[in-house]
Amino acid sequence: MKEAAEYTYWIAIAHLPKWTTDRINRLIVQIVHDKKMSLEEFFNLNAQGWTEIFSLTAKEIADLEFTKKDLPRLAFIAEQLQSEGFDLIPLNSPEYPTELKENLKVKSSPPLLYVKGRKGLLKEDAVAIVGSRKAGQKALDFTDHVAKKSVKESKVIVSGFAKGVDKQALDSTLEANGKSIIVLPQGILTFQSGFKKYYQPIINGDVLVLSTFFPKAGWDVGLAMARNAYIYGLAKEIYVAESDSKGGTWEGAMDGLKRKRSVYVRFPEKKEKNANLSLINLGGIAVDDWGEKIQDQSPANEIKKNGIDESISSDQEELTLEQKILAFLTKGPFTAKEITIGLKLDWDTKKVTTFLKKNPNVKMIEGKPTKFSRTDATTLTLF
Amino acid sequence: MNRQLAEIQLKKLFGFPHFHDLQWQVIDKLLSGMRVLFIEKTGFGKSLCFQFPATQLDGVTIVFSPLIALMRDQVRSMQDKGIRAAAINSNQERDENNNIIEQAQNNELDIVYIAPERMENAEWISASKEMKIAMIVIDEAHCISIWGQSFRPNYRRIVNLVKLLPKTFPVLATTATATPRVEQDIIDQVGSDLVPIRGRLLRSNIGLTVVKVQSQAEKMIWLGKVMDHLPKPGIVYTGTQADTDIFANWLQFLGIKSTAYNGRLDPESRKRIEESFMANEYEVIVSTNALGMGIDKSDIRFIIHTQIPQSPIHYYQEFGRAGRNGEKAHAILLYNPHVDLELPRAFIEGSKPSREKYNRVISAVKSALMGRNEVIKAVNLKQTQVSVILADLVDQGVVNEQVRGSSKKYFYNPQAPDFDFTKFNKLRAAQEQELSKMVEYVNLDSCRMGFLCEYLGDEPAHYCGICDNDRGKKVIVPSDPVFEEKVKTFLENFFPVLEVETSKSNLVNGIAASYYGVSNVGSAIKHCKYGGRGDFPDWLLRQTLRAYRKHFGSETFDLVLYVPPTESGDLVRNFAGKVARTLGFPISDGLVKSRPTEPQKIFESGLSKKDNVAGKFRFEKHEEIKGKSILLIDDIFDSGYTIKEIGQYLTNLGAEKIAPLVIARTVGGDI
Repeated sequence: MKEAAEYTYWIAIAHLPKWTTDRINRLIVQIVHDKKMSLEEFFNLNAQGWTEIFSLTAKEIADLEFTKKDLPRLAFIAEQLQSEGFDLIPLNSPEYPTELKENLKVKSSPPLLYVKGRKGLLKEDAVAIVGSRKAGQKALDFTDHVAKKSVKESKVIVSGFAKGVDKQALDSTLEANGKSIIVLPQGILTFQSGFKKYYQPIINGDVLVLSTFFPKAGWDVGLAMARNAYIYGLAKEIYVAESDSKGGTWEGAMDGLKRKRSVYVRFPEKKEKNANLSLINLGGIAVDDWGEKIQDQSPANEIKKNGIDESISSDQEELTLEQKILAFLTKGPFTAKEITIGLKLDWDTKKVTTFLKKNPNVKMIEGKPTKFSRTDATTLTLF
Repeated sequence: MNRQLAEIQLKKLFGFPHFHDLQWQVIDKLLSGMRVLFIEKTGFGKSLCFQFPATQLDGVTIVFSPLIALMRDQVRSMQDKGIRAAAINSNQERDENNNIIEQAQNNELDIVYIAPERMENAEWISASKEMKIAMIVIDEAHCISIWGQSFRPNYRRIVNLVKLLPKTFPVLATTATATPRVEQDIIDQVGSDLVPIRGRLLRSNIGLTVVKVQSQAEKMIWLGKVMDHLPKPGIVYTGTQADTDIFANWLQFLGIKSTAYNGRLDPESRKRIEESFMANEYEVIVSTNALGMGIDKSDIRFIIHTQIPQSPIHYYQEFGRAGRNGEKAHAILLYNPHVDLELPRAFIEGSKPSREKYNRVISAVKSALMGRNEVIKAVNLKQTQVSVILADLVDQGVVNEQVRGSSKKYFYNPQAPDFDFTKFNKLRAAQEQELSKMVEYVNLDSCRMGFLCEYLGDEPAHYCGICDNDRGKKVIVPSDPVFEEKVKTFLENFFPVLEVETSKSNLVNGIAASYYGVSNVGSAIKHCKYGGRGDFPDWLLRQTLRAYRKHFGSETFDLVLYVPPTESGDLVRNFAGKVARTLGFPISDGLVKSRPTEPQKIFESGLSKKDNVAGKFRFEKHEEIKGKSILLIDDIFDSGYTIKEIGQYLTNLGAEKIAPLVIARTVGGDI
C-alpha cells in the first residue's frame, strides 16, 4: 500500500462488526471504484454524507460511527503491524492475488490480507493440498508425493497449518526446497511460535504466512473453517488427500466443485473409510497415489460397484447445467424465460429463477422484467 | 471554545488569568483537531499548551516524554490542582503502572505521561489499544530527527503511530531546540499537516563566556579559582568518564561539595546523586552528557563545559539547564585549541561502525530469530555498536522488531532493501559542519547568544548584552604559582577508585595507581608486557603502594593473591610478590585457571568478556581462603569482569573480604 496512513482505515472497514464480506466488499467497491475516494475521506464523512453519497442504512451508519470512534485503537494495531514488518494487502492492491479474487468474487474475497514473507509468492501458480487433521498414512504419503511433484513443476503449495495433511504438505515442500503459503486459522499477531520455527524459510522467501482475520484473533474453530475457503481460493488446482463426508475439507471441496474448480481427489482403496469416492462422484477428478490422473477410470462404474446411492448424480447434472447457463450468460443479461428457451431446458421458468438466484456466479438485475447476468461479467474493475 | 471561555476555564483549573498569545495560538489549533510543532525555549510554558487541552478534550491525552523527573514534577503539580494526571514509568512498581493503565482505560484520567520506550513494550501496546485517546503529545520532539542532538530510535514508533492516526486527531510535538533542518525533518517524518509555530530562543538571563586555555592543568586552575566567585549549585560537563572522576576529585580537594556522575554508575547511584543534587546536597555535579535528560532543577546557576560540545544544538540544550527560574546564570566553555577537537572528531568518526560490522550483524539476524544479547554474542561487537547497527537496520527496514512480552526479537525482512551506507556520509558531513560551527562560536567577537539563536533558526540580530563579547570582557587565565602547585599535589595524590562492590560478593572497592591513558603509566606497562622489557619498574611499584596507602591506610590483609596471567608470563606474579613483601603480607600462588581463557581484550562486548572468564578460576586449598581478607593484584583493570569473577569465586569459598589493587584502570572501559 502506498499510503501507510490508509492501514488504519483498511483494518477498520475489513472487520466491521457483523457485516458480511459481501457487504463490506460492495461498500469498498463503491468507495474506491465508484466514488474514487480514499478510505480516509470516507471515514471523514458524517452520517449525512454516508446517507447521501452511499445510501447507507441507519444501522450501517451506527456501525460506522462506532468504528470511527475506535480508530485510535486501530491505529495502535496498525502501527504494531507496520513496525513488526507485516504487510497489509487490501482488495484493490495490485499485490492482491488475482486467483483469489477470481475464485471467491465479491461475495467472499477477504477484503484485507495480512502477510509476512515474500509477497511475490502470491503471484505464482499455486496448488492446495487439503485433508483431514487425522488423515491416514496413505493420505500423508499422497500429500508428500503431490507436494514434491508440484515443487518440481515450480508451483507454490498452499496449506492451512493444521496437523495431518496440512503439516505434511508444508514439511514436504520445504524438504524439497519448494515454496509455500501458510493460511492461518488465526490473527497474524498470534503466530509467534510459528514465526520462530519457520524463520529461515520465511526470511529466505520460501514461505509466506497469510491471515485474513483480525490481527489479534486467537485460533478458533470458526476461523479454521472460514480459512479453508481461502486456501481453495488461492490455488489453481486443489488436491484432496482425504476427506470426511462433512467438515472443512468436504465443504471446501464441495464449494470448489460448485465453482467448477479442478478438484483432484485421491482415489481411495476399498477398505478406506472416507468420503473421497463421493467427491469423485460429484465431479472430483480421480488421481492415483502420485497425484496422476487415472485415465481409464470410469467413476460412475466404480461408484455403482461400491454401492453409492445415485441421488448425488442430480448434483452432477446441475453442475453441467450451471456451466451451460453461465456460458449462455456471457452473451449478456437475460430473463429466466429467455434462458429457459434459449437453452431448451426442461425446467419451468420458476425453477430456473430459483436456481439462478441461489447461484453465486449469477447476479440478479432488478427491473421489469428481472434479468440475470454473470457476477464476473458485471464485476467492477476492482475485481 | 473561544479564548475568553478558555481563559475562564484556565483560571478555574490552573489559576492563571491569561494565556500568552503564542500559547493560545497552539491551544486553539489543538482544540480544533490540528497538529502542531511548537518550538519554544525552556521555561516559556510549553506544557500548558497540552495540559490545558487535555482537561477539555474527551478521553485521555498521552504525553510521550523521556524525562522521568520532569514527568514526576508536572504530574504532582497538576494533581495539586485537582487535575486527573498520572505517569507510567520504569521507576514505579508494576502494580502502580497497571493501576494507572486501568484508570486510563476507564476514562478516569485526563493526561498520562509515558516514556517513549513504552512504545516497544508489548503490555503497554495492548493496554493502550483499549483506551479512549484524545490527543498525542511528543515532548522533546527533536529526538525524532537524526539531525538533532539526541536522536532516539524509539521515537520512530511514535512517529509511525501518529501517521496512522486519523488526520483530525490532535497531535502536539514540542521542543526547545530545533534547527531549521531538524524542524523540516520532523515535518517530513510526521506529515505535512504538522503546523510549525516557533517562539524566540533567546535566554536573556544566561551570560555566555568562552575561556581559552593551553592545557588540562589550566582548565583545572581556572575552574578551581572561579569556584570562589560563582553562585552555586552548578554542573561541570566533561568529555570523558575519567574526566568526571578527575575534576570531581579536584573540586573535592579544594573543599567543594561535588561528585562525579556518568554512565558507568549503576542506576541506584545515579538516582541517589540526582536526588541529592535536587536537594542541594552537592554544590557541583561533574558529569558527562549522561546527566541532563533526567534532571529538572530550576535554580542551577552555572553550566561549565571543560570540553567543547559537538554542536551548537548540544551546547544550547546543555547550558539551557541553567537559570530556569529566570535568575541570572552563567554558561562557560573552556577550550584548549590544541587538543580539544580530537574527542568530538573521534566521536563523529566512531559514531557509525564499519560496513563490515553491519554485514556481520545482518548475517547474524538472518541465521535465526534473535534478541539483542544473542546478536551481541554471535557477532562479538561492543553492545553500543550492536545497538547502533540494529537501530539503523530497523530504520532502513532491513530488520523489524517483534515485541512479545518482555522480549524483543529482530526479524530479518525477506524483502529487505540493500542497506544504504550513503546516508552515513551525509550524516557525517553534517556533524563535521556543526562542529566547525562550534569552533566558530568559540572564536566569535560578536554576541554569542545572538549567534546561537540565529543558528537555531531564531530571528537574527540579537544583542544579549551579558555575554563576554557584549560586555567587552575577554577572560584569560593568568599564571598562578600557588594554584599550579595545588594541581600538582592533587594529581600526585589522585588515584582512580575501582567500583566493584556489590551486595552479592564480598568484594570491596579497590584502587588503581593511575588511569591508563592519562599518565605515562600506560606506556610503561605496555613496554614491559609486550616489549619484553622485564619486570615492571620500581616507580610503578612505588606509585601503586602510594595508592594503596591512600585508599586502605593502615589496613592489613591476611593474604595476597594475583590474577593468573593469560599471556604476560610472570610480570604480575613478580609485581605482586614485591607488593606483598613491602607490605609484609603473605602471598600465595594458589589462584590458577582451571581452563585457559582468551585475552579479554579480544572480546568486544561485556557479555562475551563475562562468558570468557566465567567459572575459569580455581583455588585448591579452600581452607587458606575461608575467613580471610585478601588483597587481589592485577596489572590493568578494564571491564572489571575478571576481578568480579574471582571476587565471586573467593566469596563462595568463604573469603571475608576481597580488595582489588591494580596499576592502571583504562579510561573508557567497556560498554
